[in-house]
Amino acid sequence: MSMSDEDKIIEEATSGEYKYGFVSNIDSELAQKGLTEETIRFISGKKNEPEWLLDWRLKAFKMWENMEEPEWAHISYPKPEFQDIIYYAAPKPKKEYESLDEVDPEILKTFEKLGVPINEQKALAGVAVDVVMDSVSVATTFKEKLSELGIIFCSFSEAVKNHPDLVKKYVGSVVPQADNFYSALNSAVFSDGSFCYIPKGVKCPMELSTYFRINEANTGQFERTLIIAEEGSYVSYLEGCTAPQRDENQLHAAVVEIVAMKDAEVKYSTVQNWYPGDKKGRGGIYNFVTKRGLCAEENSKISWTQVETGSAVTWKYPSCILKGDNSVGEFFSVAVTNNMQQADTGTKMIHIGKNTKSTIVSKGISAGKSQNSYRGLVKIGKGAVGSRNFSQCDSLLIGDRCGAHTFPYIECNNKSAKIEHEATTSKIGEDQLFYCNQRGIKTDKAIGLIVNGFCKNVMDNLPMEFAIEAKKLLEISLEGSVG
Amino acid sequence: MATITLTDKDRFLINQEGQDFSHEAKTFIKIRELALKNLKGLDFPTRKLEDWKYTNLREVSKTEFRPQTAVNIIEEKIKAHKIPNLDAYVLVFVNGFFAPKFSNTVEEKDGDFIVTNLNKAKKDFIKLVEPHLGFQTRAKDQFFVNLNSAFSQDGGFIYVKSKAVLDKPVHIINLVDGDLVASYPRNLIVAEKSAKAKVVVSYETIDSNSALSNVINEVVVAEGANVILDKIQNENSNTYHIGADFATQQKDSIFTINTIPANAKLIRNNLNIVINGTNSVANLYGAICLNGDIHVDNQTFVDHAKPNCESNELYKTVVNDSATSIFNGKIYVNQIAQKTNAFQSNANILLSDDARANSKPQLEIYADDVKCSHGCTIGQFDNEALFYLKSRGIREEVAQKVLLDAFIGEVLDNIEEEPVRKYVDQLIADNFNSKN
Repeated sequence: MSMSDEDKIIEEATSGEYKYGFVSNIDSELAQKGLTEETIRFISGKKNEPEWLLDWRLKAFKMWENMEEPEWAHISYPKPEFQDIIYYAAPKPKKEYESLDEVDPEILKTFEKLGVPINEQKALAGVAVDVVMDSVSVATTFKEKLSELGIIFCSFSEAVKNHPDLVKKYVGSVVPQADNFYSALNSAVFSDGSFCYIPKGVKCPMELSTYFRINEANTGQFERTLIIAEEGSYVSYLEGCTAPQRDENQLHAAVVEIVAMKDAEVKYSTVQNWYPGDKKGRGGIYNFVTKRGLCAEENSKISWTQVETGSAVTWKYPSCILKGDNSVGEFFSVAVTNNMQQADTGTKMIHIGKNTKSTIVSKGISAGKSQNSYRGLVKIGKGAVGSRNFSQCDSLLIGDRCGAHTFPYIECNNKSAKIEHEATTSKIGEDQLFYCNQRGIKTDKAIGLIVNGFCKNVMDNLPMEFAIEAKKLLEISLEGSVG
Repeated sequence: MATITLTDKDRFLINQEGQDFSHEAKTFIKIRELALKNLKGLDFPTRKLEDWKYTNLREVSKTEFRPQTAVNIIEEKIKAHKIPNLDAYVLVFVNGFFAPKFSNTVEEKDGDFIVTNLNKAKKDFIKLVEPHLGFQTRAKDQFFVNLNSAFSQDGGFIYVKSKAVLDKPVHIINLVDGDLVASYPRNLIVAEKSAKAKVVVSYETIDSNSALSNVINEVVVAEGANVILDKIQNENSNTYHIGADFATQQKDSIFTINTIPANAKLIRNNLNIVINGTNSVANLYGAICLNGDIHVDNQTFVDHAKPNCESNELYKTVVNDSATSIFNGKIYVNQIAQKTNAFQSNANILLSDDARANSKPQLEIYADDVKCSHGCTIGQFDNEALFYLKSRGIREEVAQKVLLDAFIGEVLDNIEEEPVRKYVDQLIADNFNSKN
């Protein structure tokens, strides 16, 4: 194939636009614009929160006022105007369609490709759904089953009402209020989120997902998730969904905290596909997330898997604090950026306990004019005898106007630790493309195939159904919305 | 009345004043004036700056270092710092000032090359110095680069004519003698089209007094030229060494720098290499073997500005006692620098409980048709290898030395001159043995 043909296909492949647009809203109960103590009291009051939580929020707000926005990340964007944001809105009714026929056929096509069941398609596209909608009833059955086992899985607000002791004990224990600018902001104004508690010795029989609560609550832009896994328990938690999510808020500053006790294992998987802005970089979501897990006791394990394809700007470092002896932290990530998207993402592995192990596998794919950075920290403390880390971060470049960057920090204070880090950057091999073409696979399909091969060892860590959808999502992100 | 309080920087700068540079040509005075102006807006770098995250210079800013001329330098003292059996042109600088008595210069106007001190060259070879001096060091935000630009006393000047080869290596010996000496040696190496030069620069101290060495090496590598620079840093354990090396390469050129930080209290090296011509190769090697409580911070920056170039970077570190090693390698690939091959590797071995190693191998890539990789490891000597040697009757200390030689040897093999290699081997062995 001639070079110009290939260029054209790459051009096509990387110039896809996100066609979902936004749906206008009918505003309901809103807080005053801007952020003051009053706003926080308003939010807290609306949610009937106990006094201690209000104080907690106010404390965070005081800290936030004295903090500055971080600027070290390899991203540039107009700073959000924090006094211009409405920090509380009751769940906004979305504009609803009468039937799927009214929905943009392109979206339906995407759903079809992703294999989203028809009722879920309706929910995602904003079609009015019956009360008996499958996923809702399924969710209810699930809830019953879970409560039999003693598992608590509910919204954060419910947890504050029904399990205040647990919330009080653990909220802010992994990500303190003053951890960083955005976590402080989140702590002050968080709207809602998920709460999950797995009692001692219980293996959660199904993947827990915010997906099942999709119609229950609009968790909003300042989401807060808290997962507690007691001794010997296991849970796999899914966040987000592969289908494009409509969202009206530009700034997303979520906080996720995980605590894993002795012998407990938590698996946290994310697929993020928020609006990335248009081809010229206008609009799009700012995704500034603080995610951290604490392996509090021995033999615990926390595993992060993420597939990031959306958002205009991503700033996200799911981390593990390996405090318990023999604890294990894992981070598997695929980050795809296209058009003008920017991603600065990676992880932190803080080894404190003896014989702690961590694995980092990060795959970055940049196309269009996007910038994709891996930023990670591996820190071995003095007491972390016999610790082990393996990191691999590979970048794939598609087109000559994108950037791929790596900023790994490695700090070792212990002579018995072993750390390995390797990174490569390359473009899609012409020979690989040629091989596929030769066997009758069109170039755009071939790119999808190669990219999926490139990401395979991350995708393998996703729960099954999720993985299949995510694979398709990768292809779509790179092919453009048409696919 | 408002009182004027002097900051540490102000006091430090006042201490550096008092040198008279008025005899210099206007063009060189301008460089100093500009640097002084830049210094006004700068301060000692603090750990809040990303580039100085791991290195604290508080003590430097609080100590009364000042430029001093050396007294009573005798040949005996100098001799000890020559590299045995190295047939070279030797330039000796003490406290940053030229010591002609102990140096052999080559200054023939029609010769193939010039080896002399920079102050002389600024007068006699102004046409050769002017286009290059200070050209690469104009960064406004670098405190120590500007400090050297403002106060540099003297340094080596090596100029190799087009198509000429420097027949012997040049050995520039920088010595420090006296208490709380601040010295600012600055070397300028210019290799014209297709020229070849080998330069060894060593930094050593005569006594054990505290000192500050703020050094700069500027290297100009023209089309098809080949320059090899070996940097040996072996000062006493009370000396702060803050150095910066600059090289700009034109097409088809090769530049190699071997950095061997052996001793000091604190060593900071900033390597800035701009590959500004196609088909060029840059090699950066570092052999770092540390003991005591030395703190060594190596920062390298390779700017791939043109296509079809290659850079190889290999830094190997052995850290003993309570020493600290920092490596920050940055490779920047410009959007037009297609077909770049950039390799970077940093391997660390920690031998004691208090030893520390921090590493940050960084890639910034804006071109797609590139092959860039970096790797970093931190670990120990392979226990099985040790056991193998021990089981064959080799004592543990000896076995460790064998493994050390093999580990560091991979880097040292890039030193071409046999006497230099031997000298460095000895330094590293001494460092290693002083512990065992």
